[in-house]
Amino acid sequence: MPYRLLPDVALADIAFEAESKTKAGLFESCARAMTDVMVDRRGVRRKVEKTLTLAGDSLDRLLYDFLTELIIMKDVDSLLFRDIRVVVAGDDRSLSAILRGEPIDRKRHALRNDVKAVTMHMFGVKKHGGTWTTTVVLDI
Amino acid sequence: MPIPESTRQISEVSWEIPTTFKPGMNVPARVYASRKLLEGMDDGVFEQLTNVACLPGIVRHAYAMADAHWGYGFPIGGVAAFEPENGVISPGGIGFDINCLHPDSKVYDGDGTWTKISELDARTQGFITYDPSGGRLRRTKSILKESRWESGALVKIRTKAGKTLLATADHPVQTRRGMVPAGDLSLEDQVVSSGFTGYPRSSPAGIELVSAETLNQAMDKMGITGAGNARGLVMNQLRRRGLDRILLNDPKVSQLLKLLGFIFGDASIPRVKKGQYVSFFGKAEDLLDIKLDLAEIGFESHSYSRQRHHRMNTKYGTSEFDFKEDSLYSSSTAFAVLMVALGAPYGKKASVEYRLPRWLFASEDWQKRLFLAAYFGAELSTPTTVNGYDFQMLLFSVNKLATLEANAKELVADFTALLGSLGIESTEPTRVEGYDYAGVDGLSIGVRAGVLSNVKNLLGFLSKVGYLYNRGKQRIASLAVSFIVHNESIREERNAVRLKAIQTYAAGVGASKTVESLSTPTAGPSFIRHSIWSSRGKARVWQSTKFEQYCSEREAGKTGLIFDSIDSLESVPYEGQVYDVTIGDPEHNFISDGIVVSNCGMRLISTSLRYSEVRPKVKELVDLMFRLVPAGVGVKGTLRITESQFDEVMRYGVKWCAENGLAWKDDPGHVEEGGFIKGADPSKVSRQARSRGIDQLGTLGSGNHYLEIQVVDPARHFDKDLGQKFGIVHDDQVLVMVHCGSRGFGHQIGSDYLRVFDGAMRKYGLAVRDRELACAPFSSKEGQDYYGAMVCAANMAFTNRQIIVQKVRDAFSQVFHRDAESMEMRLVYDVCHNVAKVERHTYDGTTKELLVHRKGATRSFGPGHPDIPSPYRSIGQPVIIGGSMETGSYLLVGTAKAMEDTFGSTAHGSGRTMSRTAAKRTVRGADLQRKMLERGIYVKAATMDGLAEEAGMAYKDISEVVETMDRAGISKKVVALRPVGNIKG
Repeated sequence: MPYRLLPDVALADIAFEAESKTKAGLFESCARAMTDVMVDRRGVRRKVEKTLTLAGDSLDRLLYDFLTELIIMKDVDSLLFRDIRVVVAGDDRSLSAILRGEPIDRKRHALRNDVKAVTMHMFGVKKHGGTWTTTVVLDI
Repeated sequence: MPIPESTRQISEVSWEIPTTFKPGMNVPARVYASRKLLEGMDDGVFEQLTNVACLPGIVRHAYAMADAHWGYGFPIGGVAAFEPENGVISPGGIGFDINCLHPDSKVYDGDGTWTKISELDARTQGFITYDPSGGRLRRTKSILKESRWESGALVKIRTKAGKTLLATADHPVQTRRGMVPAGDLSLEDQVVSSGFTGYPRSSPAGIELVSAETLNQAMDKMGITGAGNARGLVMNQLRRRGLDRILLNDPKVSQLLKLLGFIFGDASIPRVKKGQYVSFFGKAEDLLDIKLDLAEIGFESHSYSRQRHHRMNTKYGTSEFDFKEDSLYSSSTAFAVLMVALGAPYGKKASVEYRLPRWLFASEDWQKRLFLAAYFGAELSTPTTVNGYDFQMLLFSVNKLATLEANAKELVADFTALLGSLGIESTEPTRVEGYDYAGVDGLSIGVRAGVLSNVKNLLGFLSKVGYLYNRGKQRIASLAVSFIVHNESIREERNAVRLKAIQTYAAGVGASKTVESLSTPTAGPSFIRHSIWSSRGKARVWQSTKFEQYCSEREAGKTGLIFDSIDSLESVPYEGQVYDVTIGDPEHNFISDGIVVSNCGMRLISTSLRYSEVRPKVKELVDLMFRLVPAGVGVKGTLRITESQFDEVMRYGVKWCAENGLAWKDDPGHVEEGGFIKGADPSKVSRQARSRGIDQLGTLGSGNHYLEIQVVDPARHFDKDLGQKFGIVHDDQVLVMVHCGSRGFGHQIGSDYLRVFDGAMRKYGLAVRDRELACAPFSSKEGQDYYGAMVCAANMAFTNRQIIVQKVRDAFSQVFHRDAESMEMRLVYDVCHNVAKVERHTYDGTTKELLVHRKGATRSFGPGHPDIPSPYRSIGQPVIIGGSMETGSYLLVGTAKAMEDTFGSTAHGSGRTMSRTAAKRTVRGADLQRKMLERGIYVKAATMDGLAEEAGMAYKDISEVVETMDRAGISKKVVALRPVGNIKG
């Protein structure tokens, strides 16, 4: 299971837990989880492709900035993404992502919650055995 | 976590958790709640509240109101006040570590002029920074220059494009793989470098450029007479901006030089009788830079874009084409006069005689460059290669009526002379016949000159002068410099190999041996053979990377900067001062960030309508308002404002609205703080936050935000006398309540500063128990910056609610076919319940300024407080408490007891008890909508899921909360309001 919602973590907001065998997989799961909170992703078409490159001083920072960047694109460019592919650099200091999606279409998209921010609450990427995990709380 | 055992009951509705509860608590925690509410509080409240009590500088208590529930860092429903001065930990303390550069390191400012870092005045100069995420350059202001003593060694980095950087081993350097400490760089790394080098900043002489005399001469020329005090107005306008007398060493001369240079190129000051203006033509992105400079010296400008058809008769026949023309207008007569006084041409440039102002020749090199580069941004050709390696001559020309040929030549000669004074050589001004064309004013001719294209001259020009107000040309120029330097290093290498080959062969070594021993990737076997067997001059560079390919391989983003290979890395001994500048951008308060995100608040407007009149129209009203006030995921508002207007919104909130026809005259006076909080600093708001905020004005958003039509509940009209003073005169009066905030704008500011505080906490040695409680000393740079940005968000939120109210007034007026005025749709009050403010409070026998944080808590100042807007000052401030969409809301009044007990604060709403996911599982949106309709509440929601999440059962009982606060005496009930129509974001 790439992610699951945690109903009891944040009463007023939405929290989820994600896991993956790879760092990139973890980032992708988080981005998909966050998008699923906002829209039924199955209805989003692949009309626009964006490439995103980010640098940061740690894996935590990268994940936080990556998710924040997706929120900014939602608000500024009205974009939601169906496909999210991530490559994390070996030193954990930069990432590239290829995003495919389309502008919000209020008639066609099944929209859900508007995510305003990623919070630092419980935030952090951890590795247990061979699995990368994280908990993310989204401000709604 | 259950209620802590050590909790002590203070009164019927207040409880205290002592400092012995957990180590580090500076003050006890206090909870206002009935026993029932206390027992129902979620576990996080006590943990979070006692964490807040550990923050340094906190005074008296950490408070939780009756509606408290778990938040981020602070509980929602939390209040804490801090002493600004004692909340500070000395920066000289623990963990103070800065990464540094050698004192001679050059730092570039927004003018492209450099200063040694050791001589830099970090407070006044702007900088250019590289944004790796967007791959773009942007202007920014520095916030902090720091220095420390370094004893040991520095890393010396030399690059292929000829750059050298001396930095401490921990200084981060931007590379292809992200930021890397200089000490960790390897020869395989590529660092970001710029081809542009510019001129050093030097101090200009105090030559007078503009005075009353020159301004009067300009006005004579422009036909501005003293009639109607036109001249006096111009002088006043300039005096207000400090531009009525300008010396060459005035800091604003930088902007003036650029604007003037561009006016000689692609801008004009047409000859008109009245309403003088200046228009600039160019690409939208470049015009934005001009707009910023205009704003910097205090002038507004407006952008236009239109489709144009052009028809031109030239020697080669008639050509016609369509193009999109972007332009920027400054309609300030004062600005036009100022430019003419400085020497700008007035009227049609082709038909009037003019030269370059003489004072330009007395200006400093970096100043000449600003003028020339802005002119060349408009007029000089873009660097292009002949064959992929060598660049064509860069050309510019002046077109004039044939009768003014002599003046055209003089003008071009002025430009080449100014270039000459910078050591850059050009060709003689020459008339070019191909430029002749017959226009409406007669035959016009063109005079042209070019920048000599030999390597030294071209390199000097592109690396030091180049272009401004033209990002495309600036970018190519910077790349061209890096490319030329790169090719020169290959040429040198080939020359060296050639020399060595000739010597080796002459010494008797066989040809094939010579080729084998000397061959390199840039000087291959055939090159060496040619060198030995035929006499040749300097090596040519060819068969290596062409310019276009070099750019695509090397350019960092779309910046003109390149990823530059490292030639050598060495450690050099160093003993001395080293410096660093912290850039004041998004990347870069005791004020805690955990608190302020959306600055949401409540706004209540009354009407003169009775429920009997409104009842049949509720559905129509709600449907119309739902269309007018966008709600839901990623919605944008319909109001379009410019960047500079958005700055005004951040500074002046509802006052701005009133000045721009978006508010009634009385509205600002009915908003907390008179419509805007002072101390906003838009320069502390990141670009991302701006772009998330600028088009969200007038939108409701989502989450628990709503817009609701309400009716007075006659059975719970507790204080009719006070109600009347708040404008509630009938028992079935209709009101409208708005709950929303600053949308993504405030949240982005929160995210940006969470990052800043992460670093600031290490810097100031602050430790907190929760990452969301990130903070900085209020008096620190970081603390002050955050405060300035947060106030911007609060003012944006006031504005957002104001614009929504205007739409509500429109909707009522459309539905009832009456003026909103005739329905007396007056603003009762607007209060922000998510904000930190500096306020004066009296406690423990002293009166002092405190920084009061209210997170999900409402200010509740009692009668007579000077901060209450005048209409309510004598009775206490209105307190608006919003319940769930099913249970209704309350209007209360602030009390003297709140001033004594809670720094003038009370609850803000009902507080959730059930998670969104759980609520959705319990009730379906469509069912809820039907049930509410049965109870007389028509609700429309952006999504059915969102509706279910806000069901009344997911919230605490609002009446219990209000009752508790009333019994505690920190706010008094005035009237209850029940919902009849609701829009859920």
